[in-house]
Amino acid sequence: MAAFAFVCTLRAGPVYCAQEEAVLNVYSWAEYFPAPMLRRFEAETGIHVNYTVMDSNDVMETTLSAGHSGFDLVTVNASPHLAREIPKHLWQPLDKAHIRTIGNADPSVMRTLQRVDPGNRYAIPWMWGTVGVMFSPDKVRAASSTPSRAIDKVFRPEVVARYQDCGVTVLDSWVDVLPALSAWLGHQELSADAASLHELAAAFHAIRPYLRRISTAGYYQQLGEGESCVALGYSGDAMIARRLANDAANGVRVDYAFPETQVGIYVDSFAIPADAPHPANAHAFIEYAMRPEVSAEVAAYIGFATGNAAAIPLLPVAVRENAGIYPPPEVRARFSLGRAFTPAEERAFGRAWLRMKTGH
Amino acid sequence: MNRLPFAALLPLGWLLAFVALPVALVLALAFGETADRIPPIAPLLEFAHGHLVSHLTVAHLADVVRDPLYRSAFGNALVNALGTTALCLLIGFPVAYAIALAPERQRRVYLMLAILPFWTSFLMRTYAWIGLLRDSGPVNRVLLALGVVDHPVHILYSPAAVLLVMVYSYVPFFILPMYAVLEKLPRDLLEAASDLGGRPGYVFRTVTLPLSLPGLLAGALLVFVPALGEYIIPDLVGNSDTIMLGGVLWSEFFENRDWPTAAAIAGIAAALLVVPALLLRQHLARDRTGTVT
Repeated sequence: MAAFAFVCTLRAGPVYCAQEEAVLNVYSWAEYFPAPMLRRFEAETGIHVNYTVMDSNDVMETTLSAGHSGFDLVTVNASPHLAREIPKHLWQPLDKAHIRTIGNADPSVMRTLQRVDPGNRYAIPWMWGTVGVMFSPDKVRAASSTPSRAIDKVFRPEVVARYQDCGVTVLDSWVDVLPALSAWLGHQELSADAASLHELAAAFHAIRPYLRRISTAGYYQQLGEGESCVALGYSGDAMIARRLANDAANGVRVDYAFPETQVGIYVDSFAIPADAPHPANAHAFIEYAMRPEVSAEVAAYIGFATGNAAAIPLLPVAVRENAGIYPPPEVRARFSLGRAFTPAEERAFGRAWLRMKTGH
Repeated sequence: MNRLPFAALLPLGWLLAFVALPVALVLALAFGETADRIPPIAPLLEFAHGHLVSHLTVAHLADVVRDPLYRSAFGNALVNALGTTALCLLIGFPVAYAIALAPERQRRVYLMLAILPFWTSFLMRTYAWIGLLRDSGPVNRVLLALGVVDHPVHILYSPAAVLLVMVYSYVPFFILPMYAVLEKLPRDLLEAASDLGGRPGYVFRTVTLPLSLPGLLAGALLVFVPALGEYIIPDLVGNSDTIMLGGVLWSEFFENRDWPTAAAIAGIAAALLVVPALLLRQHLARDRTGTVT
């Protein structure tokens, strides 16, 4: 009997008035749910959590697409993944009546999510961040005394060239690089037509010789350890780079600046696979995670921006007032989340990026 | 009547289920059409409106053959795999020879040392190389201290780092089969050759080398085949600006969700591997019938 939870006795929804095995299979990034948080959830509900670490949204999509993955709760990237997966019926609509803490979700992030999930039917933001420029101010000053805009440090060839010796890296991800590059070129929206792709390729071709590395793995370690000085990367990674430098006490400082053009935003959101075996437990977990004190504890620990507005006042002042994590309104006004692309567009972007990064 | 012994059914069944069937599936996928569904491929054959409809095309195979992008991926992978094999041979042959010639008790210690790295996870060992080769890592510190260089050399995230770590990882796969053959080399043949006036170099060329050829070829294949499709090492210590077979496969399968193109790349790579394997088989078969035992 202990192996089963009567979720329906606690809540009135007729959908869940069935016995569900007291198990929850979570599939998410390594840091997103620290062990103490999971243990408290288990103690409170009696639901045992199996935590599978995710290594990429693409692999996750392939796993779920094959069917019968057994996962109940996933944190999915909003664009392009969630955007293209909703029409493929990979996710089930959330039963908001069973997530009593849903009101805590940050309204501005929820509004951004509507671009890929109209009506916020499928996803609730857990963590979010921006794509920007992280750099070591001392090394950057030593390399060149001429000031430059943050985004020019990674995209304007003559500026990138100044920093090639101290090391410039760029993410290996078209989803993040191409919209930023397109905005830098002055376009409102990323387009997959031949002329636009040609222009993007030419712009990237001009900076490629000056790049130390094109990578999404470990680039922030390089920065924190002083082995590079400028990186186009994720705001969350900038906080990790800073922590690495502090822990190593190597004197490396890491600053994070928003692109002066559009600011790309990524949102990792809770979503429940359409064929989840334990959807009621998944709802119970979302409700638990969206409690202000639970969200605040995790967000303070990993240094990402929480999707829970009610958690922000509970954060330590240093985190709460870090403009790199919680940007001011004038930066938020430039937020841009990719729209849903067609499969043909995505293949065009994917191929173009493969050619761009390998110099073909 | 040529009847299959009953005991052969199990390995045969195993090969059919876990080698032939998956390979056939991959080859079939290469002729498929991408579709916006789950899985992202149109059914190869289906009944629609009472007719058998096929969705088969050679477009993806043709693209892979024609496109210079994939050609250079194959080229880079081939150069990398050949380089790895050559270096493994240059390092592995003398090592295996030295182990085979060592006295019995030392031999066991040396063999143990050759196998010892397998006790640590392959990923851990690759990560250890990242630590060693970093700009501020031990290798650069030694070079700086010795005055060989005055700036740290960027070894990590380069093709040289990929080659280095690949040779390190694969060299035991060359040493072990090589040793197995060299150890059985009849000593009296070598002694007879020198008694008859053969100088060491001549004896090596005419007696040792031909007799050890099966071990050399087996070792070279054991290195070359996995090296051609190696994905992890270039990903961790290489630079993504060098296009490699494994990386392109990953990108087509996971990022572009273009299963037919990914299957076409895999199929062509497998075909490239079958040719040297068949040549080797033929060579070994000829050896067995042609030489005196």
